[in-house]
Amino acid sequence: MSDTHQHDHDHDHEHDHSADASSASVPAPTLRDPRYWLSLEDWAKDPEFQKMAEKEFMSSPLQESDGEDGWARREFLKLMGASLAMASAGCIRRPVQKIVPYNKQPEEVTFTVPNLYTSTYFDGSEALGLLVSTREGRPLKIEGNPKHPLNKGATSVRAQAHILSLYDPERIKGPQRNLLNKAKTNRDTISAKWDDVDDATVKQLNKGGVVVLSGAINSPATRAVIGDFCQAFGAKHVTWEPLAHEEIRHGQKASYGEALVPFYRFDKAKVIVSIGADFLGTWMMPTTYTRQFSAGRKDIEKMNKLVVFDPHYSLTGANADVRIRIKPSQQISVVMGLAHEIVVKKGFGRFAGNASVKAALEPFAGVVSQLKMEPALFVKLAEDLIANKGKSLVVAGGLPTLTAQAQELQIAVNFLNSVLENDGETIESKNSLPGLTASYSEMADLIDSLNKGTVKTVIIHRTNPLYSLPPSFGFKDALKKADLVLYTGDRNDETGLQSDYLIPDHHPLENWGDAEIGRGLFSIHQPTIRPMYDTRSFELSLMTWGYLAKKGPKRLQEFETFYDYLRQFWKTDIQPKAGKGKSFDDFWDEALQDGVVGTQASGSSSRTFKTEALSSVKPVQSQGFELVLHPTVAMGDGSLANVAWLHELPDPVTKICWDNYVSVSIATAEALKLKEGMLLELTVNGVTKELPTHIQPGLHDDVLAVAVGYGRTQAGKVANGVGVNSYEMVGVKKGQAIYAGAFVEVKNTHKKYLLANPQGHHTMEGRQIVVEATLKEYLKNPSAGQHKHHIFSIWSGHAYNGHKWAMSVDLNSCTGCNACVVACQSENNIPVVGKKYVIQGREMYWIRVDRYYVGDPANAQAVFQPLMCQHCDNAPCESVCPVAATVHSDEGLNDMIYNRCVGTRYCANNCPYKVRRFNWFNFAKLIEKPMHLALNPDVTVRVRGVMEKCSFCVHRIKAGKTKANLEKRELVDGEIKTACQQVCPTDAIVFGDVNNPKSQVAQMFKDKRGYALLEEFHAAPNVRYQAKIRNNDQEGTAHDNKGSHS
Amino acid sequence: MVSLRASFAIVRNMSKIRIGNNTSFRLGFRVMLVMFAALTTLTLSSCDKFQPGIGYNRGYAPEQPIPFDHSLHVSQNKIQCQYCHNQVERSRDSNIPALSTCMNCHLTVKTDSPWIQKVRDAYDKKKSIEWVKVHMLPDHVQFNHSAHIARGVNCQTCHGPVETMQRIFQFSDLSMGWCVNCHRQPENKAPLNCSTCHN
Amino acid sequence: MMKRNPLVLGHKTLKQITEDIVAPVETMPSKGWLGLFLSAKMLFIFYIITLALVVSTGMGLLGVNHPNGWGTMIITFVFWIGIGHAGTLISAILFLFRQKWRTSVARTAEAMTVFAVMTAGLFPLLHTGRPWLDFWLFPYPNQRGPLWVNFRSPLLWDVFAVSTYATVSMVFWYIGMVPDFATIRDRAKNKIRHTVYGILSLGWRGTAKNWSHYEMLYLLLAGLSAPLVLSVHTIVSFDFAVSNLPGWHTTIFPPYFVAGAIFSGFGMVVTLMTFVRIGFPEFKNYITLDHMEVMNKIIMTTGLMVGYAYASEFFVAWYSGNIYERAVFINRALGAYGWSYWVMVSCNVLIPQLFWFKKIRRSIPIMFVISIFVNIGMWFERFVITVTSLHHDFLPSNWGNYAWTMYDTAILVGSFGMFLTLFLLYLRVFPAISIAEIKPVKDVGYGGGQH
Repeated sequence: MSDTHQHDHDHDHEHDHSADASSASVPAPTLRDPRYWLSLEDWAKDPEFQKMAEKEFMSSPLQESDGEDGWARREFLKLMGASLAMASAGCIRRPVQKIVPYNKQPEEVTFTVPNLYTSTYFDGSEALGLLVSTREGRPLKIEGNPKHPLNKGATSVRAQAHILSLYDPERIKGPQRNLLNKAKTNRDTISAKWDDVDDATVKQLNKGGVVVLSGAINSPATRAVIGDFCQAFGAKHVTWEPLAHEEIRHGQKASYGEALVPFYRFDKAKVIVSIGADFLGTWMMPTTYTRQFSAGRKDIEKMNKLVVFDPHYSLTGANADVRIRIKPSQQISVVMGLAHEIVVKKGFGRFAGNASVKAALEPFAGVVSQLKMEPALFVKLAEDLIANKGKSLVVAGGLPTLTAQAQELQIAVNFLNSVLENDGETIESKNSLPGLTASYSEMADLIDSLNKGTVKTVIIHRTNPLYSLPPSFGFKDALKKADLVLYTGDRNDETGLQSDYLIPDHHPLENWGDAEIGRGLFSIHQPTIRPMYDTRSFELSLMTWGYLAKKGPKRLQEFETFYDYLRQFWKTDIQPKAGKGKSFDDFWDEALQDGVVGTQASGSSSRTFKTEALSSVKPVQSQGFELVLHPTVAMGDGSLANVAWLHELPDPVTKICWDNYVSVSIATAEALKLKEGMLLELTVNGVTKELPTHIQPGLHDDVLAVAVGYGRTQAGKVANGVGVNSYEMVGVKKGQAIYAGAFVEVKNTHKKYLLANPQGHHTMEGRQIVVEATLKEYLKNPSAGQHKHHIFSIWSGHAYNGHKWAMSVDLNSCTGCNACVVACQSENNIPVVGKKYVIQGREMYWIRVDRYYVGDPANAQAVFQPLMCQHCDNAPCESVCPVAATVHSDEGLNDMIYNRCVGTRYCANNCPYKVRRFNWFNFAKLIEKPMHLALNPDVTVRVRGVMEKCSFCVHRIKAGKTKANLEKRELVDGEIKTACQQVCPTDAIVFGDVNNPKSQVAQMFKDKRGYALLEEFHAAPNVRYQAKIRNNDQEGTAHDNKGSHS
Repeated sequence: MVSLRASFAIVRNMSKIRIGNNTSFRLGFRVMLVMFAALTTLTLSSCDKFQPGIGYNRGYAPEQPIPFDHSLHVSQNKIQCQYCHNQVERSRDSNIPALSTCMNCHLTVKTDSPWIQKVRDAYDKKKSIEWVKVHMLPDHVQFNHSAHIARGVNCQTCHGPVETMQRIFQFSDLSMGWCVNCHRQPENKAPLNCSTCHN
Repeated sequence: MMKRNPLVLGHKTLKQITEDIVAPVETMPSKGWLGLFLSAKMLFIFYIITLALVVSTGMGLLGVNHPNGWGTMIITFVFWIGIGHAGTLISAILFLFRQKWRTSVARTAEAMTVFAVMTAGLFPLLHTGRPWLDFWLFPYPNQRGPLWVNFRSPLLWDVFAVSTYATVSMVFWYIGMVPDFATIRDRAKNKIRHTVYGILSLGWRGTAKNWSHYEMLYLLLAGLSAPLVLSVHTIVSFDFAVSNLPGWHTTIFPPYFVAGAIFSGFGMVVTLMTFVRIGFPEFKNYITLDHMEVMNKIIMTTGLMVGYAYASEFFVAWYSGNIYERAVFINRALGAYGWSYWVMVSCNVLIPQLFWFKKIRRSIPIMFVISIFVNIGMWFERFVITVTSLHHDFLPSNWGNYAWTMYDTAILVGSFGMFLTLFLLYLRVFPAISIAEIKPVKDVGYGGGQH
């Protein structure tokens, strides 16, 4: 890769404006009307714009350069383009534009052809293998790495969205210094120089008493650097995350003697019982576990069974075959009750005769009576578990299980798994997850030593304790006692404000790194863009200080970049484990090429359970309302809160966006005279908070559930003041945070508040929308639950001689995780409209996931249905557009032509699925620089006043066809993937050519469960759904929608 | 009927009394004529979209920073188009060659020419040359060079006899009509979907 | 032959008639008129500003949203188009049927038509997302291939229907006024007035040739515009009927809309005529209580037709057994917008029934109030049709309410500003009653009529 200036060259006119902008000083000769010239030149001199043009970077992320006088690329100006498109719709003369070729062409750059770089994403709990798609040197879209054995090409909502955090306009542009006064409250922030920072730091480090406080780190190399650094300065490394999995480690230690987080195998389990563990939504590694879970349901005859005891309405609960609403204090009773049923009543397992066990289980003899479920069901569950010994899995974990008895719950769960001989089968202890070491107790110790004054310097990396650590820990005051606080955050956030120096780390997409996702499974983390600002990777900072202080092992001091360190580290430490018998260069290239090397450790065997641990497990008394704090699919722990995509993304279950709220059951709402949105005052552990109410069907009457991750104060324009910071309601007991089960006093303030909920109505009103059948029905009749209509048409329909694109959506696989929604947003430049406009019904999603409740409201079940443009053969929208802006293509697509649209909105009215979205305002214009760099240049940015909708990613179809064409071959089925399909962890979405009988989608269309939405309406959609099957031993579904309409 | 006729009769008698003078009418009529003419010319001249050809920059031949002569390079020196525009087969956009491409020859060829020296300077300074763009499509049109090349469409079909051009100029009007006209020819088997060019 | 009341009261001579009718044009306006005009004009300016804001900022300022793609602008458009119908009906159809009583109200009714259509015509153009591209709605030769409009779209039919209607009714109206312009011209004292009306009168001389041509042309135009009365609103109703939303997709719409249009049209005529009678007391002799009564009868009848339409809609919804259709109509009467439905029913069906009583038919204040109710009711009819069908369609997840904003109110109110401004101007500069046509009927009802 040559080192050159990156001069763009491109034939699109918004790009050329940019070039023109940078060269506006030299008027080029023109045959054109001079008046236009002036105006254009004026425009080009727009200072805002010039600034952008300067912030340019390399085509290859791997090379440095002096970076001045770069040219803006076409994407810089997508917005300008949008506005100009509007102007040019009138009559303008052609502007004079410049084309500025490269000085030397970097060989990896072909214009308009994306380069994919393998990388890794880690959010503190879940790690994913990525393919980052870059265009002319700029990451545009995050994809999953199909070669990655865990996520297999799928990605999570936040992995998709974190590309926006790269282009966040509020990232700090270089090192900064907070001038703190004695009380450490002064907030004057000045910019600093790296040299000064380093000098000050090294001076301080030499005084000793150093602590590196970081979030969970799953990068061996980074751990090595920190290790070397700690060795150099006698420092201590503390890892802490708000969503730690400490309870599991403690439970494992107490039960089996080794503190680890095992790897669960939901794909191997036939019966899955989850107690508060939201493994499909927010717990541990949801994407991977969702993949495993759905894999166990693809073969419907042998599909697994998911039973969820749900303390709040979690996504996992929404996907349960049997969901029992409980309150946190019942969690232990449920597990021990099951154990009692199995071990004592049924006398099953190797502990059957054990007296101490019997004694421990006795108190839980009659728990069924307390649960909101019929005893028969409970017994059946016990029988199922016994019948599937070794092929079942009981899991508990996550914030909703963090009661004062969190550890005991884990012990009980481990006991049950040992009884059922699942340990070593569906629970792999050898294959534990190395990254998940975050610990509250370590944090508590750190706070003690800070208060004792033994810690002088704190280096805080990738974690934000002053926001997400419960204030009751008293970290803020403790931190003030430190002499020097360094913070590597990308903004002056809650923690940043209390630190002396902000030493911004690279954004993950700008940084080298690696990851050990499962034992022995190593993946590489490549940068995809030259650092945009004057940032320095955390690792390099540590290395620099080691070098300056002349301390620490050689490798800490000798390397100039972290890349060199990493390479060296892989040579010495990783290759022996994962790449034997290769030259290192081959091994390294393979790692870069595939993004992942090695295989997960196998050979986990069952461990002996220490029965004495059981003695600690006692029934829990509960009183009144119990608080349940839980993370959400979108926000997680709240660290990515300034990404607007995540705020606008409706919650999978409640569908509410732009707020957190307290969920209460219907009965409780009536008792407290609460209406949806009414503000409710919660007092817990002496903290009082006011939150809007959401009336949640299927919630336990004594439960008040609140999401964490909201209420940021220093995250930025988007996040600040959205929702309430519920971390502050968390209590502390023996250095452990209590997220659930705390007693809450409530007061109805009767104040009104508007929650933004894009879904209008939550039941199907007996219409055939989401077809559902129980497994028993299905085995009798594969088309159970469907009312087939007599369809006739007076029109022969279109002829499709070439391809005919179609999509199949398997509702039995879909878990409603919403990853497709964000993927689509990222792929198709879909704007965010904000809370006010969501309330007004102006959201812009091309694909949405409808969630309907079925059955008894008090104990409602949920079904999900992704809905995108159905690309009807008899499209109602096409016939009514007066200007033919939406027309049928000969490949079955329903083309929407933005530049022809005048915006009568007739098509939207006439669309029975209401999947068309209208640009009520010039949303695109509101995208702040440099966030428009994330816009996809292949998809037109829509202006105000035009209609838009799902295009089946027609640009990908075109790209795929062109590629095949250039390579002189036929298209391969599955070669073209839509954005939503690519991201889906359950492979629920299949896209392809139905005219090719061998294609996967053609096969899916033959499926007996298949039906078209509003089939009787005969719009003849090219999207077909497959009915959902519920494995709940019932003869019929909760909702009966068969033939209830003509 | 009768009554109506009668009514007209009556008024007719009345109007006989005064002679309506029609000078004012003629005057008014002229005024209206002038106004109408003015209006029409205004509408037409204000927007050249209504005048076929105009507004499509056909024949646009701006002066370039360096008077690059295609006829010299192509006709005389027999250099293939793709030697310089080397991405045209792979990319949607055909590329203007990087300076390094020019220098492949011009490190030795015609080094005394002031223009070549200008290129040389830019090359050494790691700068570039700002060519004036000739062929422009609005940004809602996505033309794909590689697809057309793969179909065996000559550069000349759209760009005209480039090999004879001393200064490059826009040969075709590049209007939508012009594109569609070619796509419509059955022998071309070209797609006619809107999404072929717009999405 | 039955004895009938005189069409013109107070034994006018031809000269008196001329003077009475021309008076408003030739005298200085009264304070009352000035006040009305200024306030109407203020409203008009306010309206223009509102529209400018909406066009420059985006449709999002209005309450239209997802799923309610159409709202105030379309509702008010249909409302005004409906109003327009009475004019052409009176002037053309009643003319062809030789209804003599029409003569005194025809001119003003036509004026109302023209202004109503002008007011209405703005909406379809401005309610698009990119109004500056509205010319794409017209088929014209272009450089795009050429790219034509989609002739299957009802909206396109609308473009043609409305523009045709506007043109024809305007021409018809103007032609009718030519002789009267001539009269005013000839009476003119000062040069300017003389010139202006001279131009308007197209050099009318009142020769026999003039008259025979005029008569024929008038007859032809009447014949030409008669079918338009039916066609325009039929086609406007296609905007809804041709689409497939439950509550829109109905075969009854065309006649239902036409009846409604005539209903609302006459409602507005009555409203305006009461104003005219108050404003120009002399006109009481020409626009007599008999005229008003006849129109009230029409209002009552058409009101019944509309009522029938409402009923049959419900019947069909039930009888079809289509659950979407049923749901929409149940929701229409009992749902979030039930109130608007009942406003509509009571204003359009119940209240006009009072006209069964002769006393009420002939009482100016009461008929005025009722006519106002009719106007309100007819606006709500369009609101009910548009919004209640859109906000509750096939998939429950789409359901959502119309997000009414102050801009919706501003647009609705402002449109009246535009209409009234034009109408008040008309009263002052054009002869509000056809002099040429009123004279022949002046003796009707005095026994001396030539029958």
